[in-house]
Amino acid sequence: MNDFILWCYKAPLLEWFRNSKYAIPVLQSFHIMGLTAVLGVVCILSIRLIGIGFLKISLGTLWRELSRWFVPALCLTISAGVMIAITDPTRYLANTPFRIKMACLATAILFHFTIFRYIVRNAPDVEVPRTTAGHAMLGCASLLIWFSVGWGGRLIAFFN
Amino acid sequence: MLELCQWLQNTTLATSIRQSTLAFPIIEGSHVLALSISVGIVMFLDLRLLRMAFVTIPVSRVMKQVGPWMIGGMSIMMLTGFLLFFAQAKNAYTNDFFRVKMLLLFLGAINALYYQVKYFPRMADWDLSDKVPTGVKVIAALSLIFWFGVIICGRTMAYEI
Repeated sequence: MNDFILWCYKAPLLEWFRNSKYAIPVLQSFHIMGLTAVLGVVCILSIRLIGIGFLKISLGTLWRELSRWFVPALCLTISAGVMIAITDPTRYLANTPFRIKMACLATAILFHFTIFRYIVRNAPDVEVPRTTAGHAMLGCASLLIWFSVGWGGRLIAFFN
Repeated sequence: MLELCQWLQNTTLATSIRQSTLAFPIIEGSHVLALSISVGIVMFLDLRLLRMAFVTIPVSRVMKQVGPWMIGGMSIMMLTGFLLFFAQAKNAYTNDFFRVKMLLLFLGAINALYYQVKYFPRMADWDLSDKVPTGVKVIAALSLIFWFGVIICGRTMAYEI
């Protein structure tokens, strides 16, 4: 691990990223574009589960259509995030909000592809929704965990 | 205009926002994360118009479902954006990336207005069909390009300010 961290500070490509005026902002822009799509999917599905919107589209259709965009968007967000982090790994590894963010991210991904996916795919696929308390709680939990990742990211700079 | 921005930046409220430990990060964090409710939801309407998502659902239904959230999300963006501008008005006004961001927002609004005027009245003609007019596809593609341009400029301006 230490060898890898040392390499991060020596590699010419990463040195270029660190010294370039616009490389980090552009990487961050791709990170934000990706998270916009990821959180957009999370918002639509959660809003639908809570029963306050997107009621005229069935849950099955929403899940199917949005999942096709969710995974590529998540890959984009994580790739850009990794690129940003490896330009200065010591800083990020020592940063408490970053560590909390990573813990929340791991939890969110696990949650989304297990419990969330299972319940959404097994929900009655009817266009007239019957929101249950369980679905509403699932939607709220999803919003909470994913936006914790987002706010964790914002607090990184705050605790520098 | 520059003097007005300098005056705005010097007001007590603007200074307290700018120098606060909590207020500025909360407003800025809300601005970025509200992108998910505004752009994050609207992008799926644009993708529907490009026939890249929700192709089995009529455009009018997608539009109706997305509408209230688009208005709500954009309202949050405008409110938080205005507060951020207010806190650093002169610095923002003289920042090239901020100016390009505002231009892209303006072009995006014109783009949306053009759709409302030219294509929305006859939407019933193609709402349920497999074909979307080419002009509508161009508008949807431009919408996505403008929004991603806004995001890039928004992030880069923070490094120049």
